[in-house]
Amino acid sequence: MYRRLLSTLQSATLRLDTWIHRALPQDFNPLYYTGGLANLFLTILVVSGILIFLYYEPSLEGAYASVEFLTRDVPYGVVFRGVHRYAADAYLVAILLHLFRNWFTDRYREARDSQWLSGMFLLVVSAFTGFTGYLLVWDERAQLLTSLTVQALQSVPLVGGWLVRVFLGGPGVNDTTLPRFLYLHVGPAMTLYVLLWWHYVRLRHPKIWPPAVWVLFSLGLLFILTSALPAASGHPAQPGASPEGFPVDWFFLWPYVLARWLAPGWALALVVALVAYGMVIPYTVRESPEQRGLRALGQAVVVEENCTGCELCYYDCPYNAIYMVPSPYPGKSRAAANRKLLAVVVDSRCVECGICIGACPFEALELPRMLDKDVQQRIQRGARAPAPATS
Amino acid sequence: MATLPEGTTHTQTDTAPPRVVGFLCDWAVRSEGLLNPDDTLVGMPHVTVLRVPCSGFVKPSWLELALRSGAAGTFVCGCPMGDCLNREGNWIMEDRIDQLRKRLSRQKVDPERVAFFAFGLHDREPFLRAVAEFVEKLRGSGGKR
Amino acid sequence: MKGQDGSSGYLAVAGFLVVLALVCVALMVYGEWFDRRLVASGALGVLLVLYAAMVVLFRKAGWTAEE
Repeated sequence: MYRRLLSTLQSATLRLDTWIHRALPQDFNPLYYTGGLANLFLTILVVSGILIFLYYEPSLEGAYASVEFLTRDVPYGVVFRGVHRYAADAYLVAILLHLFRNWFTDRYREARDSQWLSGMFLLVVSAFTGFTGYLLVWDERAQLLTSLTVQALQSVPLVGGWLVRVFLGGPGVNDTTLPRFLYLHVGPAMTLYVLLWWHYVRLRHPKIWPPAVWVLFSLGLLFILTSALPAASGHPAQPGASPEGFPVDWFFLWPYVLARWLAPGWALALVVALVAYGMVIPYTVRESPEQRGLRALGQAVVVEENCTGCELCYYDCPYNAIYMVPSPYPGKSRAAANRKLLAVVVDSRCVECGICIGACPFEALELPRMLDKDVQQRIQRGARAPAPATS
Repeated sequence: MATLPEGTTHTQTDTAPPRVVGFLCDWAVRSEGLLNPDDTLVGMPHVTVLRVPCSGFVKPSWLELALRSGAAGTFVCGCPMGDCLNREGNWIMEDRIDQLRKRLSRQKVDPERVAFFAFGLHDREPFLRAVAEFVEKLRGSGGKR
Repeated sequence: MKGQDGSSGYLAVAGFLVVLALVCVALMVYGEWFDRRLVASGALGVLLVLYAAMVVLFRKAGWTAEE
């Protein structure tokens, strides 16, 4: 039943493509570049974040005022504050589109689980970074979010108190709290680049940027939103105040909306459960090689007698699953006799796509369950005209 | 590189449809009910289609083998450009086919006998139409090397 | 402009987009001159979106091709 659901979702996702292709040329389809869009918004966030950082004062007394100064008195300060805020939402939307598309189009199976796991970590760290950003403004919303978070953390068994002290820089809100929040915003933002290295490491030529038309459109949209709905702080946080409601950014703050009905500890538990499920998604669909059919023809095998070390397979493999090593012994065929390098398939990365087989001019690679000679037989059978009927 | 065996083009008469050997990647067109057990297309027995795990799996030498063995034409159908399940397979295959076409024209073989299509899961009708048009085009230039 | 062959429709839309773009530029100058910076940045945003629309239009009209 789960597999049927996934199959329906896959079909629906690709149906979406047929509609998009009626309006846009195929190479402009934004759903082909969801990762690139996320990276674009991340870059915008970093640049606008650095500009904001120049003016931000991380202290209980100065935080709110510094943000107000930036918004009101710095030329275009309101613009880069707004761009930062809307780019964060757009970033999360792009990540979610990326997640769902790659989930529903089977791009997380087998050796691609590395990208999936690193992606889940990226999602969690990004969401956390977005959340701490809201705290930095130190308005009433930030105060309410802080108190709800403290309640949630306190309810964690055993380590709850310690978590609160780490979060606030002490048992309660104090002078080190806002510098701590700033650290919890900029620090995770920097770890995103380490996680991105992990995310890209098994891919050759990852599509890091969307096509220019989407860069233009996204930047334009951010500026339009910034002007139409300027980012603004709520009332300044008062010590001892207990604000009731706040304008909700659904992308980052939905667990806090749940706090209206659930104790904060349960909202936290729900988030943790969702993340844990997300982490195991690559391992939830187990299919035998027979069920996977053409997608599981066996990992590529190097026919060492024939490999000449030409490196064509190495350059064509989209998953960096082939390495060239210094040849330990000469090959058997004449072309391979003087080779300097030998191709080696890294089993943990091979997804059995066969692109290396297509690249090799020397019959030095095979997929075990679709051998070259069998393909040739089928081609010849198909190419020959049937014997004319004798009459 | 061998030229076509003697007599091959002579068997492509107007009455016999041109034989075509093609490759279809598993992620491209939905292939349930599309093929007979002997690899021929349902409804087009002169067209043989081998399903492959990725369009990038296809060797250019197989395409040449198809032409040398008597096929009037050969094609590879991959995923929509930009949506290859393996990210780059269809771009790589398109490059290989470009190179193959240039090589064939140097050998005085009509490069138009090798085609490359890119269709998605829901594009079965456009795919079948493209194959049929390809067959018609080959029929029109039948007899010409 | 290379649009002959019956693509006067595309040419008209392109011309319209150019006019809108010039209006945006004027708004940007106005916004900066009179310290209405939200107007200036909004106009910049619209200009960028128009630029994106122009790229798509050029491709649909056949004046540019896939790389």
